[in-house]
Amino acid sequence: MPYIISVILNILTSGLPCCLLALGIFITYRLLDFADLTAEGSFLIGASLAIALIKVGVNPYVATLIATLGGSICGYLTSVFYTKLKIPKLLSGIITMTMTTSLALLILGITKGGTFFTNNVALSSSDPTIYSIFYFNATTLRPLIKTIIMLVIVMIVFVIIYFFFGTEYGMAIRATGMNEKMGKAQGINTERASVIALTLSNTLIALAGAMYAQDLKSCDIKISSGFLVIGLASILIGEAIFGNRSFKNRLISIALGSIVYFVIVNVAIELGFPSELKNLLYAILIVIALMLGLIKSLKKRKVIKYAQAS
Amino acid sequence: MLKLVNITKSFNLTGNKEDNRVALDHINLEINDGDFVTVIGSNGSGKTTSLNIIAGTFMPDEGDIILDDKSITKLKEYQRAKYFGRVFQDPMLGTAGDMSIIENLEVASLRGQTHSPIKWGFKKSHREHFINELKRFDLGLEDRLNQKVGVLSGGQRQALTLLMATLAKPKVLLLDEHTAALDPKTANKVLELTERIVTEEKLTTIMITHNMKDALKYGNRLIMYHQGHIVLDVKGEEKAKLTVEDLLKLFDDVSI
Repeated sequence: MPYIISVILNILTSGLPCCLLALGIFITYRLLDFADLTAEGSFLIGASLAIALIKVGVNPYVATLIATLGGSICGYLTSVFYTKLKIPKLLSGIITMTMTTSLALLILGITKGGTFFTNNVALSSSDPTIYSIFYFNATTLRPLIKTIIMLVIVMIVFVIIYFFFGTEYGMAIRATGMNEKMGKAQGINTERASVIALTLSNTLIALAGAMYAQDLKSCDIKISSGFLVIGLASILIGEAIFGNRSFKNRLISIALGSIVYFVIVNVAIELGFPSELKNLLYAILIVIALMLGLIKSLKKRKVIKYAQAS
Repeated sequence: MLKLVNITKSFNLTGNKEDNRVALDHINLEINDGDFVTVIGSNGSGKTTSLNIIAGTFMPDEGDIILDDKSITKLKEYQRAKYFGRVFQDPMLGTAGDMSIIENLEVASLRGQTHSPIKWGFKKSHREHFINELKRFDLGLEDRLNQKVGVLSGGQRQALTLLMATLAKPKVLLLDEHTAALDPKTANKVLELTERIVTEEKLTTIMITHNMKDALKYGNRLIMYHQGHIVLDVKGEEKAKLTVEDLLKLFDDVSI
C-alpha cells in the first residue's frame, strides 16, 4: 500500500473514534454547558471493559456493547451527584473520574482471574476485535476494512444523535442547556434533561474508548489521558473552521474537526515534532483553536451590531 | 381564579436570626379570571417575590397557592409551567439565543406538555401558524424563522418571549418588569403589544412595572406592595380615577 494512503488511514483510525469522543464532549460542554470531567473516566471504562471482556473470551460486539453501557453508568453517576446530591458540576465529574481509575484496575484484573489488579492488558494476535471479524484473508486491506467499520459506526451514531436532538425532547434539552430558566418556564424538567444528556454523552465517549482500544489491541490504565483536551480541541477547531450556524452544521463541524485535528498532529510529527512532546502540541493546538474562535466571534459581533442598527 | 392564601416568605442569607428579611408577610390575594393586574412597589417590597412564588421559582414558608380551586403549592416550577406564561425583565432569559426562532417557538408550543423523545420537533403544520402569529405580533420576523434568536434586539426578544408565553394559552400571564431593560420607545411598543394580546386572548395577567404611568394606563386593577404587605388594591372605576400624584402621595404615606 502506498505510504500516503497508509498515513491517511492511520489518521482516520485515530480520528474516527475521536469523532464520537468529541460528540460526547460537545453534548455536555456545548449543549448542556457542563464541563464534564467524567469524559476521560468513561473513555477508560469503555476501553478497559472492551479489552478485558474480549480477553476472557466474550464476543467483541457484546464486549463493546457492555463497555458502552459502562460509560452510560459513569455519566448517570455524575448526573446523580450533580442533580440529587447538589455537588458542583466540576466536582461531580472529578469524583466519577477518580473512581474509574480504580475500577479500571479491577476490570483489567478479571483477565487474571479477578484476584489481581492489572494496569495493562494486551490482546494477542488471535484475539478477535470488532474489526478483525471482517478481515477475512485480505491481510493488506486490513487498515482499510478497519477504517470502513469505524466510519460506519461513527455515521450511524451521528445520524441517531442528529435525529434525537431534533425531536421535541432533544430540542427541549438544547433549550435547557442554553437557558435553564427558560427551560423551567417552558415546563421542562431540567434535572432530568441533565441526567439524560450526561448519560448519553458518556455512552458515546465509552464507545469511542472501546473502538480506540480495540484498534490498539491493548488497554493501559493511562490510555485515556489527554483525550479530554483532544475532544475539546476537535470541537473548537471544527467550529472555527466549519462554523456553527445550525445544529446539523455543528455536528458536521465536530466530525471534521476531529479529523483535522489528527491531520495537524500527524503532519507536525511527520515534520519532525518530537512525538514525546505531543501533549505540548495538543495544548498549543487548543490555544490556536480558541484564538480562531475568538476572532470569529468578534467578527460576528460586528455583524450583529450592524444588523441591529439597520 | 388564582388565590394566594396567607403567603409568607422570608430570606436569610447568613443563618443568623437577626438577619431574617421578611419579603412577604401573610399575603392574601385573589385574582379573577380576565383581570389585568398591574403591580407597583419600591425595591424589596415583595412584588417580584410574589410573582416568583406563584411561578414556583421558590416555595413559600407558609401559605397556599390555589389555582381554580386546586392547590398548586407543592408543584415544582416546571410542573406549573403549563398554567403560567412568563416574560422576565432580562431579554436574555426568555429565549434560547443559540437556537433559531422556529426552534424556540416549537419548544414553547409544547409548554406544559410532554416533549416526546421520538416525535420530530419541527412540524410542517406549525410553520404556517408561527408565521401568522409573528405577523400578528408585527415584528418583521415572519421570514426570518431560521435565524438564531441571539441576533435579535432586546425588544424583539421580549416580544418573541411574549409570543412564546402565550403560544400555548396560559391560565395566567406573569410579566416581571418585562420592559424595564428596553429603551422608552421600544418599551412602549412592547407594552402596546402586550395590551393588545392580553385583550384579544382575554388573558388573566399580572404585570409588575416600576413605571407608575404604565401601571395606571394599563389593566383594570392596580396593586401596590410595601414591605411585604399589599397596601393598595383598587379596581375598575376607582383605578381609572387614580393619578400619578395620588400614587406618589401614597408612596410617601407608607414610607414614613
